[in-house]
Amino acid sequence: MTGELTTTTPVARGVEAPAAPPGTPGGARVRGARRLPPSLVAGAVLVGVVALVGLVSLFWTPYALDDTGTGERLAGPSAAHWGGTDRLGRDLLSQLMTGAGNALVVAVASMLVAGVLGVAVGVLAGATRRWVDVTLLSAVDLLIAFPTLLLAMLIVTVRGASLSSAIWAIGISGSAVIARVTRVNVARVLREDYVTAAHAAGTGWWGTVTRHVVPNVWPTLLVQLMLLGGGAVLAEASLSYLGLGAPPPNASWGRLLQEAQSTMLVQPWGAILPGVAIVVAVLGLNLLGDGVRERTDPSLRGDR
Amino acid sequence: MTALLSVEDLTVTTSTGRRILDGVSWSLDAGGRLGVVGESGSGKSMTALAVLGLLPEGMRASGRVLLDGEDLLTLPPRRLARVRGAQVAMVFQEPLTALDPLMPVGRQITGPLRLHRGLRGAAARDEAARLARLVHLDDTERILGSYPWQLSGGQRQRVALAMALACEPRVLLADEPTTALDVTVQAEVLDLLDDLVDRTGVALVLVTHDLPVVARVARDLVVMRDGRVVEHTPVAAALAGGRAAYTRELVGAARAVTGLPTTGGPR
Repeated sequence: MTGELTTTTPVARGVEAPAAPPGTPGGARVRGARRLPPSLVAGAVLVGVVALVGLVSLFWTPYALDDTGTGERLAGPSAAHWGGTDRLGRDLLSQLMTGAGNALVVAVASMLVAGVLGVAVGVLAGATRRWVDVTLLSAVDLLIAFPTLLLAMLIVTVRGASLSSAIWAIGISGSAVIARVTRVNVARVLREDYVTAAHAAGTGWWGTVTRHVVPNVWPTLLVQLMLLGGGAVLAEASLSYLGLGAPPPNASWGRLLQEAQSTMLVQPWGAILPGVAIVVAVLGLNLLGDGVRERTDPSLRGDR
Repeated sequence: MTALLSVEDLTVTTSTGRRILDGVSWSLDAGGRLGVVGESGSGKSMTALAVLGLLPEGMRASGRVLLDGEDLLTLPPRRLARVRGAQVAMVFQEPLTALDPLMPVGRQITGPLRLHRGLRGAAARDEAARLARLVHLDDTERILGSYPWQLSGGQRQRVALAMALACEPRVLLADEPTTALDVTVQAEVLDLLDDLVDRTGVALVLVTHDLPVVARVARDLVVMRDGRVVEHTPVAAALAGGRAAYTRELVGAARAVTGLPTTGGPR
């Protein structure tokens, strides 16, 4: 403390430099020359492939999903069936393609459900008075403690097994995590000096939330949502593995795995292919999340 | 002449009933320059925050904060928001954390312009550029497009000053505005502050632990200790030997370390 007293003596005034050259440190910001983070590129490619395959499957698959063909069962990859056939003689590639579409639909839709629900609850909890916060948090804790599978079974019992049941189950249980992350980050940003500064400049509650809180929380949330998307692909596979997902003939990677389980030694491709597909989709979404964070958070950009 | 801003018997208590400020009173005339000094924890920053109703959650203020005879403490939130930034503006100690890291500083300067003066688009940008030049931010275009972490400490504090002066407030509360800066930059920013107060006629409340800073910029002095005002006196009188023992102690300590002059106040 006392040491700083020396800093502003009248002597210092005399030797003061004639205005430091502006922006020498930390300047030199090159616009446009910024390279994309590698994880973003890799993630986008992986997710892009899955999305493209899923999109194509909406219009065209090599065989119809319920086409048992010439009855050639449990065949390995061949010119007629690139991925081989299952125990009923159905084309595996066609099922994988349809599964890609379903996996992504579930991922995106449950991200939306979790995002909307979670952000609303999180902002409310983080930016309001104590008792609202405590009430909402308890509800969130309860939801986190409640197993996704149990919730899914509950929803399936009420609504029947379908893609949308899976989406609601995954979305609602995911929203708890999003709500937590949102609340913590909102509370953190609200304690920042620049929020106090914004209040001191006359910005109101809503203005502070939209101008400062949301943009500062958004990158973290986006990453969480992307990770949730990866988790949703896994959850959808688990649900359909257990028969809680979309019923046949609609294809799902999880059910493909389950069906291939008993015949794995005879025709391993039936288990390997959906397994690889799940890994690719989950990895892609996670990498995409990381890449998006590096892009949106300027302090993580390489041009510091 | 009635005071522009007067703090009367301001008391701030925490939720546990502890008094952070205890009956603080001082006044500031239009165009005045008031230095509030005291050691850490003496309540000087809290006084500045309390004036604008920016107390941390759980703290309660009583007493009166009169701006032109209007009590800010009892003002409804909406009306208070129109005083903040427009009538009374504030500059904080650490300019890096007081600026939003995700927003280019140009947009941060146009924030108050939009709120209080209704300026938008090109008009707001032109005004932001004028303000940037006012605080001697040369290379205006580049700086307005930069993020806070791309600027130096001195540049950031200039940005903060530009924001504070954006709506031509009548009172500027500066809470340790030079403490986080290094020596030469400190001197520059202080000179700028001095100059801005001269040119804009804004009344200044300078909160600092740094007596030489006050001696250089302020005309009146409030010495605080443990949440109370020890002395309220012209700076020159304090430097010549204040009435309160604590003031004399402070002045003596500062003089022992630095070359604090025996007469004070701006030239």
